Amino acid sequence: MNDASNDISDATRDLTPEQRAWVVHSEALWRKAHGIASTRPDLDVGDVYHALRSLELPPAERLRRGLTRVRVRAHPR
Amino acid sequence: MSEFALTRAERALFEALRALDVPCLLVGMGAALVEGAQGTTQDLDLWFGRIDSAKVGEAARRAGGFYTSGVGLQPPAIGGDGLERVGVVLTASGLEPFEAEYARSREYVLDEVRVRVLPLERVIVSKRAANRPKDAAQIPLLEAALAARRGSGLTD
Repeated sequence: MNDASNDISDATRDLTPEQRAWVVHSEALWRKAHGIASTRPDLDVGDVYHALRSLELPPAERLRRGLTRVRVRAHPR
Repeated sequence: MSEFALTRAERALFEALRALDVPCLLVGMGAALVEGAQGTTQDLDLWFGRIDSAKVGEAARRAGGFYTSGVGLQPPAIGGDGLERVGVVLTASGLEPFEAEYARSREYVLDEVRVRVLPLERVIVSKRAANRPKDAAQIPLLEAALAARRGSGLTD
């Protein structure tokens, strides 16, 4: 067992199996995001993480989330 | 995730444009969202290589709306209930001719309708060329999403 596994075990001791699974998966995505950003200093690692999260959603859900954060214009164009 | 991303009218419009063989591409931030970028947009910008007024008008009619080729300062537009977010795009900054971009576009099924989408890397090219302040502000998020796609083996 490596250090990362120990850290996750400690950090998730009081969580439900579902919550623990989320944390484990999220940590893996953060690890991947850091790997991607390590070669691109112009990128924000948090932006890469959230993009990886977004890519796990169906395309229509990605669009829905972006469209529903704003109000529809009151006038046609 | 029970809500649709598209309104009923938008879905009907996309279906009608496809049925009437009207090539168009979802471009801009709407395309970037579909490709996995974070951000927001008010518009579903549709790029038409050329406008066949009769066909686009018929598609709009089938969706319960209308098409106007523009008058005065009003540019060509599709209007009607549920179609307020649809923008008609005739020229796209920094991109190759429509046919070339259409050939490299990706097809997605959004709310059960097929939509051709400009790839994220081309959205970035377009936004860099447009060079508007709002585009510049979005580019870091788009670049992060493109890196995430590439890191996930989703983009060439």
